[in-house]
Amino acid sequence: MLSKIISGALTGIDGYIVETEVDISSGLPCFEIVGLPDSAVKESKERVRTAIKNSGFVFPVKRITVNLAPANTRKEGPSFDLPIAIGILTCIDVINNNKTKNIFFAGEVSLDGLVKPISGILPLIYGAFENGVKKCIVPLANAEEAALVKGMEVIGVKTLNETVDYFNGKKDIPPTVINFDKLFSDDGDFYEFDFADVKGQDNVKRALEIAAAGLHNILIIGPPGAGKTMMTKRLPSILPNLTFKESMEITKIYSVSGLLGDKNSLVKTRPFRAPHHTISNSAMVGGGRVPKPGEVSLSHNGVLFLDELPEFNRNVLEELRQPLEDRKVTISRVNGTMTFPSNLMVAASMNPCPCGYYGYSEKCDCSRGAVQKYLGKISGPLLDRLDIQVEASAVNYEDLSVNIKSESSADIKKRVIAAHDIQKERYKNENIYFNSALSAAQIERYCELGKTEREIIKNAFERLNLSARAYHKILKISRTIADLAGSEKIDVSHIAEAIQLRNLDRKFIR
Amino acid sequence: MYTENDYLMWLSCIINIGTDKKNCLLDYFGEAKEIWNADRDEILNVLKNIKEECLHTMFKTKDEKLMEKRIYELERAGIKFIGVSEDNYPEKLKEIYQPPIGLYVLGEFPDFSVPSVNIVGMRKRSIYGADVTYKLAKELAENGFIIISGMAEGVDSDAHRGALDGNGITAAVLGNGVDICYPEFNGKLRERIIENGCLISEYPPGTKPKPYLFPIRNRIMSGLSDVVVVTEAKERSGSLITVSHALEQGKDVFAVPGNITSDRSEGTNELLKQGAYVLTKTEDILEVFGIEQGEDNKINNKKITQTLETDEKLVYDCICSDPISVDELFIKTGKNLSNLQYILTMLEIKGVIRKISGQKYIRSY
Repeated sequence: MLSKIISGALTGIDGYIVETEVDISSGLPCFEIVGLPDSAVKESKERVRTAIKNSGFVFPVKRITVNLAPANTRKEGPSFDLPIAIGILTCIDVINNNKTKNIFFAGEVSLDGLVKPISGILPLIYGAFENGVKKCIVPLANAEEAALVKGMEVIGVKTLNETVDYFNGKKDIPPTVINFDKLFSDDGDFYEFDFADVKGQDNVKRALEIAAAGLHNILIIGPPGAGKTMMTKRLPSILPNLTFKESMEITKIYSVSGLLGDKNSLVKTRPFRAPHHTISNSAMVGGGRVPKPGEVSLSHNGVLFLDELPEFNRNVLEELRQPLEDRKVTISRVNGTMTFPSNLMVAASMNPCPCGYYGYSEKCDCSRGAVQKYLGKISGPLLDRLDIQVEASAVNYEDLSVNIKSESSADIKKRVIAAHDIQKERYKNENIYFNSALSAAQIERYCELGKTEREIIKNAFERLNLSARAYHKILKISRTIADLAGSEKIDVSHIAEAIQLRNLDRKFIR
Repeated sequence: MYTENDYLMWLSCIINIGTDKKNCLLDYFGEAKEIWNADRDEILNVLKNIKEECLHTMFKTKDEKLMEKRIYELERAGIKFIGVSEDNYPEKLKEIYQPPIGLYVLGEFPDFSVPSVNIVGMRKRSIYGADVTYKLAKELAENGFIIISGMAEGVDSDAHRGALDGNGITAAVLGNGVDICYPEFNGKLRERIIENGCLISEYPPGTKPKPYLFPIRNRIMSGLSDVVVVTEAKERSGSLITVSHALEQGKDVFAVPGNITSDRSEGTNELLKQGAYVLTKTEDILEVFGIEQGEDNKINNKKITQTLETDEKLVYDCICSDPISVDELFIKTGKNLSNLQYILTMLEIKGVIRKISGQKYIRSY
């Protein structure tokens, strides 16, 4: 007796169909799983045997062979428990063979027959759906996540018994549906932090607004306690709301990493990841025996915050260069090569010197050599990718005590969205979306300067000791500032403001 | 075979014999060549309490091969040795107590008979100190003065930089060999000084910087100059050692007054109290040498201020010599932030204000 059950596995963040073939024949009693199972899959023998017995069925004392096809890819995780159990139950005619055709199964079973949630359900279901599967049986706890795939009939089950009853018509389980309109209806008030809470520091706030508008990477330099972290945490709240497509991309990555909580089946907020500076290379870009997404992918469509930038291991920072450039990261390991998306915005913060008070307080006792060494920890190529470099001033008591209401995130967001719309329209025939991605040739085309503007930029370079690499960056930032102002042409005031946002180009008397 | 200069070079290379003992020997023997030729007893006769190991080094280095090697290496590195017997050894230097028996020079050795000013101060100077030093050095250099300093961090570097930007000549007197770059980060400045002046040291090439070498070299700095200026110094600062040398050598000492609340001006204010000349503008020094300077500079700055537009004037008036941050300006002027940033850039380009670290601005003058 042979049965075939559809199930799935993941490569990277994409799911593919795995056929779980179960055959029961006479011979010496044994239970074999073939098709490159890892140990979690091999152990499923014991779980399945016990679960079937404890659910009140008789486990066949025969020769049982399970094959996971395609047999050449490595399978891992406990998600095959449910399909194997169902396969055995169909073979011994507990469930009618025809009823399980074209239905996708995934789930872990416990010894007492409960069906437990697994990670990565969204990409699995999505992969199955793309291969023509229209119905799936998943653990109840995963049902909402699975229901995000539009057009898929999702049945959430709690126990093995319930599943059997469902197929035998003894129990009716309604498909799980989620209201997509409701998910995105409450106009993105998902963020707990708001710029209205930040008093003073208007300069940095403005810089963050510009960064968000053109998706420029930003570096904030300032003394301890200036509010660098506080302000950066609010950055996602001024970025446009996620579209459903973006949301799905993020949810897939989080699903694979097992980071989706029980409550939120769909990631509705832009990710804000703030890894500690002791992070390793593989944790940053992704890695592992079977590659898993790293921080750059976990902050896909969101913000990666690198607090205390010079404290990061230099190798880790250098590895950021490729993902930032290509907007995706490819990781090769023995068990395969995977590509994860990494379309993110980097916000970094640092102190001006090892003690943190250089240029802010007499307290600073760092020698010039120490300051230079500290700044030198960040390589030129990486610095090149941090378009905006702004300095935060120390907060004084009056700023905190004055009762001026600061602008709220919602107001800033409106301007940012308007600027994004302008850019989308302008770059519809290019392969870029934002000003930060402009290449040198594109800058020539889209950042045209008038005579007075060229004059100003020339004067600025001569008088203000700007370095040559600043030129294109200043033009890009000027373009974003002009977009924020709704101006088609870049004028003098836009350039002048952009110059103030490039602090590390300036050779201040130190 | 060897010139007197070579013998002096040999003498200067014996590092464990002090300058006082070397001068003593020179006084007795008259020439360095005679010292070379002298035997143990003769030297012991002059220096009664000289240590055995010093004598040992002296006789061990009396080696012609070593001498050849040293001469060759100096030549290869482009370093000149100017012994006390040479014609271009500065007369001024001969008059000080314990003059160096020779100077190692990298770069072109200037004629120190022209007016030269030694500018000194502390390493961790304030922005005020940096500005004053830079401007003073620049203006003096423009008037043909030689600026002498020690190439250390802070005021010393500012002085050299000012002199170089004023297209003048500057000399750095080091406490280490002229072939060693100390402090390390001053590599670029060092190159510039070699191009438009010189590095001077009484220690042979290869001498590593040691804390005790620096106070001793201060006597050369003040000795080479006519006037010593202290721009910023704490109460206990190394630059005050230079001042005491200068006073011993009978040079004029100028000090730049500072805020009485700033501990970085305690030293200079104290000097003023003790009777140092007050320096508030470059003309104060020019007067000493009887040089008159045109009024161009001052009028120029005023003219620019007059051409400012109303908006720019408003922001300019909020900025003074105390650093002010852009956030404070934002509150003070009540202007739109992007407009404010624009005005600040324009003012910077016009050269009337300057941005310093910490997103702060000060007036430049």
